Amino acid sequence: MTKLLEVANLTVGYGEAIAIDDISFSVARGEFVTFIGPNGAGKTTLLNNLMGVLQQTSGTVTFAGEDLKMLKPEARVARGIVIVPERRELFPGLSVEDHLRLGAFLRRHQGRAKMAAALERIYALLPKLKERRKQLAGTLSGGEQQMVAVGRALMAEPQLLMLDEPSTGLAPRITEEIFEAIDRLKAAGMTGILVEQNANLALSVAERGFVLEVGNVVASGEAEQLRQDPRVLAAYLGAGDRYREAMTDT
Amino acid sequence: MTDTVLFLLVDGLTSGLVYALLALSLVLVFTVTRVVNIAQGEYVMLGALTLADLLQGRMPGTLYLLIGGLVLCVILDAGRWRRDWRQALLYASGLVIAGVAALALTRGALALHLPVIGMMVVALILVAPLGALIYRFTVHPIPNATTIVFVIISVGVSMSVQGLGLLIWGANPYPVDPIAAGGVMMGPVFIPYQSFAILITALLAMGGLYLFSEFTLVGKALQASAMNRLGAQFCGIPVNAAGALAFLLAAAFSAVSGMLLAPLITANYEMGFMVGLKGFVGGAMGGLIDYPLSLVGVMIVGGLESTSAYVASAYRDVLVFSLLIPILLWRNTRSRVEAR
Amino acid sequence: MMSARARLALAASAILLVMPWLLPSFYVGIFAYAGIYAMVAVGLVLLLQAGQISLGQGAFMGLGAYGSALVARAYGIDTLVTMVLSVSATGLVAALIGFITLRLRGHYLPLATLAYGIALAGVFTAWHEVTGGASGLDKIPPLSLFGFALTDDRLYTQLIWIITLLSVLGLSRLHTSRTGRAIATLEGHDGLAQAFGVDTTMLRVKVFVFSAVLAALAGALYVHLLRFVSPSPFSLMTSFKLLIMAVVGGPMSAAGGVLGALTLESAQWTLQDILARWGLSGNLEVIVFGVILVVMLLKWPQGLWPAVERFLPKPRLRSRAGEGLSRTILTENRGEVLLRLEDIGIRFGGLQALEGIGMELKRGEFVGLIGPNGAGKTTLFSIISGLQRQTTGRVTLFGVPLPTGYEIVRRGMARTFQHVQLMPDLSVIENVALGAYCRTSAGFIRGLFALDGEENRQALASARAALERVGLLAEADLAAGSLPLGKQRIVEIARALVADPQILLLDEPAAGLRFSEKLTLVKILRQLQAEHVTILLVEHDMELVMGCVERLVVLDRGRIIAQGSPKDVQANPAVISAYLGGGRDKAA
Repeated sequence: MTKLLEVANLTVGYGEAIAIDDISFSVARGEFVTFIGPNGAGKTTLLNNLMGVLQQTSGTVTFAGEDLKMLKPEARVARGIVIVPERRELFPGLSVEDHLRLGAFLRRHQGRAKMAAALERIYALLPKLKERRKQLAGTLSGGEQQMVAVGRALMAEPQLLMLDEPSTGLAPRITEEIFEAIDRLKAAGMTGILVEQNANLALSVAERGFVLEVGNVVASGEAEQLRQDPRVLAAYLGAGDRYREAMTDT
Repeated sequence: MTDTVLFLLVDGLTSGLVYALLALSLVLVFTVTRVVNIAQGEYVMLGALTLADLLQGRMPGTLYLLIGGLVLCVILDAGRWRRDWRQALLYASGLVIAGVAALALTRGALALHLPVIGMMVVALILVAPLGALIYRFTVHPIPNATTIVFVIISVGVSMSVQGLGLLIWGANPYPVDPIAAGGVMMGPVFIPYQSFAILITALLAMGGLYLFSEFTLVGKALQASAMNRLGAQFCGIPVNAAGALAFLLAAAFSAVSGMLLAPLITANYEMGFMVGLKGFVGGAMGGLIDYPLSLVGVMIVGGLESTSAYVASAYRDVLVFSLLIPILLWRNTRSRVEAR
Repeated sequence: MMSARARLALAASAILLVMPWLLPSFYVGIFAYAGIYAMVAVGLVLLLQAGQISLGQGAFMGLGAYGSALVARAYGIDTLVTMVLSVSATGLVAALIGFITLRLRGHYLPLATLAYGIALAGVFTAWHEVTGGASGLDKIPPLSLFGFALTDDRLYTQLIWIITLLSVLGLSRLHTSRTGRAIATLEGHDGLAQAFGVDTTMLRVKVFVFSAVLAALAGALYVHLLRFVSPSPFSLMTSFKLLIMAVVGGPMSAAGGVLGALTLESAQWTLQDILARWGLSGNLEVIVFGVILVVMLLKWPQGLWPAVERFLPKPRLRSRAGEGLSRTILTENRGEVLLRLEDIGIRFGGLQALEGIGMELKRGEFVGLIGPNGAGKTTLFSIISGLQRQTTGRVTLFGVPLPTGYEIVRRGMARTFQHVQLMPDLSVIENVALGAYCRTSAGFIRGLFALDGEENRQALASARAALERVGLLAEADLAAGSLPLGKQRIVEIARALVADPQILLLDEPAAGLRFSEKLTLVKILRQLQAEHVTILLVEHDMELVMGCVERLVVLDRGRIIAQGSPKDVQANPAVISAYLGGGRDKAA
């Protein structure tokens, strides 16, 4: 397997505040990895950096052999790095189909036939979107909005699909629908990074996982192993003792 | 009595339509870039005076502004040469070709003595890119500045452009030919053909913008950038280019409005500013985000203006601008209700 | 004993005041205009400091000018009297306009100022019978009192500059006073100002009125100097020019207004001179002014003043010696309920964000509020801190319903912010002293005339004590923005402590900190707990939360799913499944 994405010693912050503290990892072509951890762990920050909307303070990100540092978001989308953002970031006054077409904005010169075929593929994967194709995004339910965000991202023909908390705020049944779509994409060979707070859910999809806790990777490994790993729960519920120990010092 | 009412109606509708093009420009710019563009009216002046020059067979001064702006663009991008000289060269030669093309187009138009409509198109081609250039110089460098900073910047742009207008054209007014001279008696009221021309052009322009936004992917992308900047970036839409496009289209609409207005009042370097601000009063009705409400707003402004011209002409501007404060307060309470 | 800076300021003032006698008579007039513009620009700088803007300041100049000139001309009253009347009347008009327009947000405010600027200036031209219309009125009486008229241009110019310099002095005093600290908060979000008891609406109106009064005074001085009044000096172009002066000088200091006015006036005369030599006429210098304005904002948004400031000696610091404000003795009465939430619910559109929240905060407790993403922590925190109103249920603080906005801190509950909200250009101690706002009373006028000495000393002494309490005394005089984030967060805690709170609300105080910084933070929190301060902590770093709180409240999907000690909560299956999430039931 060849490495599609390589992240080395990445540190990202907001001004002075550090959100990602010196992490390194790589994703091979065709692999689905997940970053799990509680909120505030820096998961969304990581994706925003990979997407190019937030610059790193240090470290390098290499995608298919190319250093991404100077590239703007649109240049990254052109290279196939595409995100399904946490807050979905839809356009409330545009229809479902408009969203899908805009997802293929950078491929708009490829002609009507290709666009139509791409739309049909998305509708086959997410049939509900076909029913709603003329409806405005602002009037959709949360689950449908999430599907629009997924569909829009897929229209860009991603080489690397990044999903940020796709289960947030959704009922379990809807979550399951979304994750079934993810399963199918994975089966079709899609490379992906799934960021989730819901660890059990994420580890059921991904092959490999990384546990983030306040900006650091505290555990990583095969998904199966991580499911049993006590460090996962510790990361979420703070089993560490460093602050309690500090009290006894003084 | 009915004569007067009818006359005021036609008069109000005509000026309302002129302001409508301005309000349209302001809403377009504000929604895509969050810039409250005080300088929008200056394109009205540029459009009118460029047309005046072309109709009288002179090389328009706008051409020098355009070429100067392109040169400044190349200079500002000097940093790119070191990073990636190939791209920079491509970019610079693109700008040079654009400048040469503009020059050739103008010379051609002058040699051919095009009719008024033809000259309007040429003037439009010369003025509209200035919008994109001004975006490049003033908004592009600080995309995340506050509204107030952008307001002050646009005040600076307005002063400079107006001063340049004075430098190029002097303080004298220029007569501009209407698209069609003469007029028609509709019952008791004389309606100049130019009023019809204004109506038709304004409707065509608005319809054009509507068709562009609704039926082209680039138009949708522009809408998307206005609704959700981050979301647009995630689709690969270059939001800076979207901002420049919004400025360019807005400049085009305002320039058209200037070319329609000029035959009614003669063109001079000061004519744009007030027209722009009246577009604001109308646009404020829709909070600078709502096209239909803005149209209602400009029609109210046009109506108020022609009525007050009849009743107390000296207070015309006072009344129109006093109207803005209640409108803003109404918008403000409305947006608060929406926020809850 | 005078500080080096005061001596320098005195010398500069002396030069400006002698100037009218040194200049050739043609330039005296120009110098007088520069002084008049500087007076208005100084007021505009104050507006900029408060995050406001006025594109209609010329209209206030005009009101002051026409008011005084017309009354004096028609009734032959001493012009000093008419000037006072006219300036006060303009103040009232400004208060009215300010009260209406300052509630406008975002892009509406500049548009509103533009609108009244044009409308008022339009009246000067349109009301022909009274104002003489566009051609104006002559025979305006000179400045006079009891029949003594001030007709010497040099003396008059000196008077103008005395007033301008006094306003700079006053505003520099105000800058380091209670009100000045509050004004500095106005630029940012209202949340900060209100959290420390600042009535932002009133303060905005005061700032606005003060700047309008300076403008009106300048306008009145202008007409009695020129002894002719016409609309053109009060047009929109003047308003724009004044704004450029304020921006060029920069919002850092009132002296920036003077600097901007002098720079722009000299630029104008030089440019006009050059343009005339080239045979060009008309106001072409506006091209350059426009470019200056744009370039300043793009490259040096702080204006020219910081460049001057670098070469000046540091200002003398105001006294912070002696006793601070009295502190409430906190008792260890653990049974007393300080904050009670009953059945709190809130809806956003169709979404029920919180439902049936009931919890208590007892005296001396250290409670953590946690929950997974989207649980409703931030919303609940906003309700407790008074930024948001619940749809259902009741919040009681010390036994009475939670008051609104800026009243909360007076009752004894202070907070810190998730995104640090310090005034980066002010010193650490000035930032911390903002916490004393609700416990002191000196207002705008006392600040302006430096009549707040003792009270200000107490506030600064309290700030000093609070910094000592959190171990940041050494950094007291550094600019707050220059500290690392960890220390900035602790400065926020010190600021809250100066408000003498019984309850401290901490909104993610550890976000973005390094481990060593977090350790310092935890030590400070423990020390505060030992001093019986009641603390409610919202925080993402679970290890930190678990390591310092006594009790936890866990939210999930808008409801409380568990309460109890860290150990209990960590073992609670409902909490574990809320955090780790249910697995997938593929069969379903």
